[in-house]
Amino acid sequence: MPLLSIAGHHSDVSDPTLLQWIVEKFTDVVNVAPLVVVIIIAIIVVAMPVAILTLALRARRAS
Amino acid sequence: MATTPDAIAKKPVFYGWYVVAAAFFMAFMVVGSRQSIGLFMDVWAEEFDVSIAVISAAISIGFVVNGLAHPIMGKLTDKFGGRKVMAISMLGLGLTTGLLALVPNVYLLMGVYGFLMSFAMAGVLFTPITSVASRWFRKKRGTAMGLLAAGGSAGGMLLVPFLAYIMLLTDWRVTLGVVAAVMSLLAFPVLALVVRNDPKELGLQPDGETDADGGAARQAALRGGPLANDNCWQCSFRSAPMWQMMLSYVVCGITTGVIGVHFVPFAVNGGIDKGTAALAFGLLSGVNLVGVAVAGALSDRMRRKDVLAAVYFIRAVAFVCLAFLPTSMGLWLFAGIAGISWLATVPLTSSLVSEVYGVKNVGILAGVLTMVHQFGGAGAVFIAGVIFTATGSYTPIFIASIALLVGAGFLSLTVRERAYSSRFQPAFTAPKTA
Repeated sequence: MPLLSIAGHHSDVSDPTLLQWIVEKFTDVVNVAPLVVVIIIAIIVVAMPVAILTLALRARRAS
Repeated sequence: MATTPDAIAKKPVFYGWYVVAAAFFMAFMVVGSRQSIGLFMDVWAEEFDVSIAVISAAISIGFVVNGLAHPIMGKLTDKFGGRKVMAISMLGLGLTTGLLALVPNVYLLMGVYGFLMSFAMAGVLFTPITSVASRWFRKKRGTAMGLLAAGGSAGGMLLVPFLAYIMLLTDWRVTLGVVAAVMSLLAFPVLALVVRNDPKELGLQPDGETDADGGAARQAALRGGPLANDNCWQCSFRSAPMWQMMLSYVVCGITTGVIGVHFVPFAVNGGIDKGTAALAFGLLSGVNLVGVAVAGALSDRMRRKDVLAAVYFIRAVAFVCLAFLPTSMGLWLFAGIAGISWLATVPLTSSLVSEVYGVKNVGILAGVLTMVHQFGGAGAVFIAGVIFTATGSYTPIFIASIALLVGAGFLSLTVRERAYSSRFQPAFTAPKTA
């Protein structure tokens, strides 16, 4: 199925092997337990929208 | 008289920047989670007992659906406003991601990812936000568009390891459940509560100008571009700038598509290991995060078409490195140079379109441009695959890319921005009235 195999390389979605490699490198660099990484990034992911929402609503109220 | 330091300190942040921040988070979530789909491919293939090609087919269907959905979302944006389209699409994306976490077989996976999620994604990036950002910003439009596009790069860098680790600790269904929860419970409220379609809704003017300095009159004059035809968006295709921007944007799609897909195989083919190739591609993404923001900001100080042309020429130089230098050196130089240009065409092209054709129909026009960009990329990926299969070399593909990029650069330079962009009209350049 040459057509599908070509389509299968599509750019929109990253190559699984590539992603696996990135994760391994990330683990080497940060050198902490996966749970710690998840917690740290989760805090960032939650803090970002909460901060945006809080500041924006405060700015609206102030004006 | 100069403004005192106290007055500067007390000056509130223009609300448009909160809109940009909300869009940054939206781009962060959507681009990051979309790129992460690659993490699930092997697991899906194993769980549903199908080949990777079948999973790839679902993703390819999604690509086509997403491309076709952009003009539809653009039209909806022009009719109902970007805020509604983005908020509802984000909620839809969250719910369908939750649904994806529950699919029991590959057919439902195709339906949910290939159709529902891919359709909803078009309502989030970048078509509707182009319309919203164009209304909030005139002078700093490029900066605003560049910053929100950089959210996508940041998402790709941070969300991929995040989801990979969650998958490591749990399974793919829980991981998708987390994405669904963040989209529905965090990104959706942010879009619904923070984004406003137009500064007028809050009694503001674009860029934070005030009525007292003549802003209202100036901004009203600038809502329409010199070639705007509010009742006929199709009429835009009867003028040269639309074709100049569209054709060059197709080249952007072609060249990013080719590299996104064939970069690692090219490196491996040249004797470079996959890890090094991935690291080089990571460098490209990192440089891109800065490049897109800088290009947007620069275009607010210069003619956008000049920055756009420079972006295409820079990318052409990067392809020269790839085509003619030894693989290892070419790879690293390409990553460093091309990274500057990678997403930079998005803020530049969309800003230029809104300034030439006005903000009334910018949604549908941005949607059509995104669609041709997507299809250009998909076609190029296919053709590049066929050429490589026939010749066993990527060099002809890279040489063709150089020629196309140089052409796109010159095409961008031929846009008569001074004549057709609202930025260069007397209403914009005239001194403020007291």
